[in-house]
Formats: sequence, C-alpha cells, structure tokens
Amino acid sequence: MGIFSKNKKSNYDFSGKKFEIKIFGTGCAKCDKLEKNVQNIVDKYNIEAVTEHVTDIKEILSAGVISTPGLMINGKLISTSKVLNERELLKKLSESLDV
Amino acid sequence: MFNWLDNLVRSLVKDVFNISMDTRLGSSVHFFIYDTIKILILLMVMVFIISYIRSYFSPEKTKEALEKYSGISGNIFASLFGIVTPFCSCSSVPLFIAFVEAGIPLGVTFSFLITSPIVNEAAFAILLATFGWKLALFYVFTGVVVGVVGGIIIDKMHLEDEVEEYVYELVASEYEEEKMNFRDRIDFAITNVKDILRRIWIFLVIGIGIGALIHGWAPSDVLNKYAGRDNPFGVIVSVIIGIPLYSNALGTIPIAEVLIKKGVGVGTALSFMMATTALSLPEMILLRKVIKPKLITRFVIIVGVGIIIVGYMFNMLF
Repeated sequence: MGIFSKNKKSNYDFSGKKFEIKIFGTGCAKCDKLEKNVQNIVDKYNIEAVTEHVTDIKEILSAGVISTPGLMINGKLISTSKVLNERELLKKLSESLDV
Repeated sequence: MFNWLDNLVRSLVKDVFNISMDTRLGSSVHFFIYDTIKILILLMVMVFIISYIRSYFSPEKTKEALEKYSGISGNIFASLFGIVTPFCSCSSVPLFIAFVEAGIPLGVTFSFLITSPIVNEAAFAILLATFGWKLALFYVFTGVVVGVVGGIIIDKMHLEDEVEEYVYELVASEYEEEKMNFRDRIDFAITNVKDILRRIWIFLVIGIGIGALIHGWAPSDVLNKYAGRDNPFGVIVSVIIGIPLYSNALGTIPIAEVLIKKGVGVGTALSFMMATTALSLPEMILLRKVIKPKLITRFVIIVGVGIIIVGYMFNMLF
C-alpha cells in the first residue's frame, strides 16, 4: 500500500501451520477494513486460520486494546489502532511462528 | 503562496474557457478550480506532516503520561496531548475506559476527549488553506482552551457516579507497542492522507461547488442581515445546526470562506465547524455505552456553550 512496497511474490510458507487470529473492534470502518484484509490474505495464501472479530468491549480492553482496531495472533496482541495491509499482515504472521 | 496557481487558473478561465473574469460565471469557475486545487494540495501536505508527527504519539503513551499529572496541569496536558495523539472517535469508548481504569480523573479524560476531535488535522489544513496561519493557529489555541475549561468544570461537578458501573470493574491489560522506524512512520502518514482524502473529498468538492455558486450569485446584504456578525443569534444557530452533522461537514469550510467574504462573521463559521467535530451525534451514541445520559447532557451543554463563547470572541476579534 505504501509507496515503498513492492509487488514482489510472497516468499512466506505457511503450509501446515495453524493460526488463531482475532480482530478487536467496536464495529468501526477501520476495524471492518482490517478484518477484510485478514480474510483476503487467508484466502489468497490458503492459510489455515480461525478468525474472529471481537466486538465485546470487556474483551477488547482485557486484551489491552485502547485504540481500535487491535490484532491478535495466537494469543499475542500484535498491533493497535492500525489497519495492517497485506505485506504487514504476512510479516506479522511469519514473525509469530518464530517465537 | 498560491499566486502562481491563481494566475494559472485565471488564464485558464480567460484563454481556454473564453469566459471573462469580470462575469459572475467567470469568477465562480475560477473560484471552484482554484480552491479545489489549493485546498487539496494543502490538505495533503499538512495532513502528511501532522500525521508524521503524530506517529510519535499513541493513546497508550498518552495514557501513561497523563497518569503523572493531577489538577489543572492534568487538564492542560490532556488537551495538548489531544492535539497530537492519533485517535479515531470510534475508539472513544475503549480509550475512555482505559483512562478511567488507570485512575485518570474524569475531568482530565474529558479535556482530552473535547480537544482531540476539535483540533483535527483536516480541519487545521482546510482552515490554513482558506484563512491563513493566524486563524488556523488561533483555532488550535481555542480548541485547547475549550478542552481545559470544559474538563475543569466537569471535574468540579463530581459526576463520577454518572459513569456506567461496569467501567470501574474492567481491568485493562497493558500492551507493549512495537517500535516504528522511519519507513513505518512515512507509511503511517501516507495511509492517513489517503484515508482522510477518501473520506472527505466528495464533501469538499460539493462544498467548494456551493461556495462557487454563492461567490458569484448570493446577495451580500441578505447574508449580512441574517448571519452577519451583528446578528446575536448567528453563532448559536450555527452550533445547533452543527451538532447532528459529522466531520464530513469539513466540506462546509469553503462555503464558510465565501460567506465570510460576504460579511458573515468568522466566529459564526468557526463555531459551526467546532460543533460538527466536537459534538457529533455518532460519538454521543458511542459514549452512551460508558456514561449515563446526565453526564452526556452536561458534556454537550458545557462544550456547546464553550464553542458559542469562542464564536462570539472570534466575531469580535476578526
């Protein structure tokens, strides 16, 4: 999305990996956009993932999200107040495997 | 700063469209093209710069910083942080709860919640484009004053029991943000520019279009009579009209520009703008999840009165 991003082919390999992705949002436009971006890469790269859009305010806060949308991968809060694009999402997913 | 553009558009209207600049049509067409380009350029540049600065701040850091201040300095810092903290009004609810849970006084929380939407980057950029530095900066200054004073009054009213009970029971967990590098910040700023443009361009163009029509055709004396600075109700009416409208009403600034040239008070136009951003109906509905109607009503009255006072002040000063 950014001016520096290149449309190079992804060299990430997610085969055989399972993800649990949670999007925290109160139903705002940015939150829906993030959910769409996540769904797109899951479909595009055949990623095995369970995605969930959490709208309950108590759950959102106990996850540590103050500014929505929040993104959680496999139980770890990855980002807040940001609509991550495809490149960033792929990077975060692959980073979550390194831990 | 934009003389080159002014001349370029003049010759476009005269030599390409073959319309004399002395006709109503000519000056309207010039106004439309010139203002659209000028506002878009300034909007993109200013939103980019402001967003870049804002990438150094976050609601999480602001929360941490505000925990350290008490009393009036808390209100002042909350308002100042409100200017620079990137924050979308759809996050009002989680932010409100997190502030309260962190022990930040209600009044300080409200200082943040009042100033933050009033002093938004798009409003600042468009004001700068249409009215220049002096007015844009004064707008920021009064946005802070309204936030600080509003917060102090809410604090003095001791309305803590007007917050929904469950807010006090929630436990927010801490989140360690990741560091941003230069490229992340540039990306953040560009995304923000795109986001704001996508959201408001159509309203802006419509606003400039209407502005162009008024520019050529609306009679000054009638406007002066009903919305001029001498009409004591002008400011109040503009605030009331502004409340149900959302920030897309920023497109109305070009209309305001023309109206001001035709004799409508500067303050009347500015308080309308503040009302659309600070007292938006959608945000009230969101906040209702965490605060009871009594506090919402007080909030609207305090901010509304503050904005009206600011309007009259501007009308006297400019």
